[in-house]
Amino acid sequence: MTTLTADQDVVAFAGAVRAALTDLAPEEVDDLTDGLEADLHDRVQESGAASLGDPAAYAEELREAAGLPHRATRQRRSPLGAIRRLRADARADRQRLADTHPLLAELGRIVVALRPAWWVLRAVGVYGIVASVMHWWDYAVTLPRVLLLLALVVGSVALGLRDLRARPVARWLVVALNLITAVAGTVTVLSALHTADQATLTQQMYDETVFATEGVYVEGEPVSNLFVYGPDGELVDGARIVDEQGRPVRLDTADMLAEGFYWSPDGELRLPSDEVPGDDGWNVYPLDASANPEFDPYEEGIANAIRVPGAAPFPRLQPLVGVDTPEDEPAAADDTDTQGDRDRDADRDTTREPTRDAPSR
Amino acid sequence: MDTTQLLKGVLDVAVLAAIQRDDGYGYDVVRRLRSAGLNAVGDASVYGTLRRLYSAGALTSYVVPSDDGPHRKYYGITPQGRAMLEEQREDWRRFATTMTAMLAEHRDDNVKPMRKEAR
Repeated sequence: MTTLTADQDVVAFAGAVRAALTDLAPEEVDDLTDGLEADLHDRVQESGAASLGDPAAYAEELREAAGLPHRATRQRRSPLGAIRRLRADARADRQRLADTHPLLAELGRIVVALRPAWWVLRAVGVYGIVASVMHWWDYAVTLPRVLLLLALVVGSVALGLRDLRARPVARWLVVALNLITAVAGTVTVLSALHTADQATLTQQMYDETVFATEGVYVEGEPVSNLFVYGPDGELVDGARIVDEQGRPVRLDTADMLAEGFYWSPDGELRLPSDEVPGDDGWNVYPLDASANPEFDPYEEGIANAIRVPGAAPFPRLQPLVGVDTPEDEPAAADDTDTQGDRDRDADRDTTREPTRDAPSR
Repeated sequence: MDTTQLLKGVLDVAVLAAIQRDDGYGYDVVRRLRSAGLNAVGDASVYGTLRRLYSAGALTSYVVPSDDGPHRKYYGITPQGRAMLEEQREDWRRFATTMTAMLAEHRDDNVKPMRKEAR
């Protein structure tokens, strides 16, 4: 047998013997197994590796001769003891890992250094839970809430600084607290982010909606033309309509009208007035239409459009009370301009000469 | 009779006796015991006994480092150990005499032996 193999057997055997003695104090194990490798080496030299036998039995024999209790009795003592042994083993494993993998050791150091950050997060998590319970759904920054958050942070850090190694019950409570806040805190933060996101979205949608409602709407529908009738009931051609701030009243947003023509919602082409000095003429009503319904401004250009006046719904309306009109017809209808009245007036007025060559509806 | 059982009782004094003249490391002691005729002794028992005797103050120990191999733990007897050895030697003499006499009586009684006994 080569020395190398023999050595490996010895090392393995010695390791197994020590493993069977982990319930003892480390100094005791050392005392028992000091020089063990050397002695085993001698035995193997004399009697071969097969003479090594069972390491567990060896450890038992060693224990007994040294006057120490058997391992079995120790293990039966309590599950807590088993847990302690597991943790000791884990610690030893971690140490071995750290020794062989410096990168992992560095990672471990970083994690440990980040504990204070966890303490702060823990406080925020608890605050989040409190906020949920108290229904503080709005994110108002009030003094009581700020003080509460500060108190929680201080408390969490103080807790983190305490050494609870000697108090296992307190330790497990803290572990439970950490777990709960980790879960609840994450949920709270995520939902807060979601709400903030939603709020931004809603604001955006609102802005767009408001922005989109430039135009003229009657009974919820966008209109494609406006007709102004004067106090005498006659249609005013070329009326410019502005609002109280002097803004021109247009049928759509400026960028929709910028091309110089406009497709109304009912599919008709509308053209602005070209007689307005210094403005685009879109607020001069009624807007012109194209004589040819098939006219394509993209192909033929606006300048080539043959304009016709936009079709007025009525050639004229009832004059307002107290206004002199060229005609002398007394009006039986009252002054509230209901649609029914306007229809009746329009029908009655077909006998007169229309002021415009506009077909009445 | 199972010699291992017998040995367990006297391993202390056997180890002390093996060490009394020269210090030795674990396996050394095992070799001495075996060459003296105690073939059944397990080396784990010897090491455990050495440890116990050391804890009891009967032995001192020191480590001899070795360049080309594992270090060896040497044991040596102390005055307390020598005293213990002397006392246990006396005890053994008395015990052995008693046992021999008792066993000899049975043979003299002409009781039919159950099996052949080693003399």
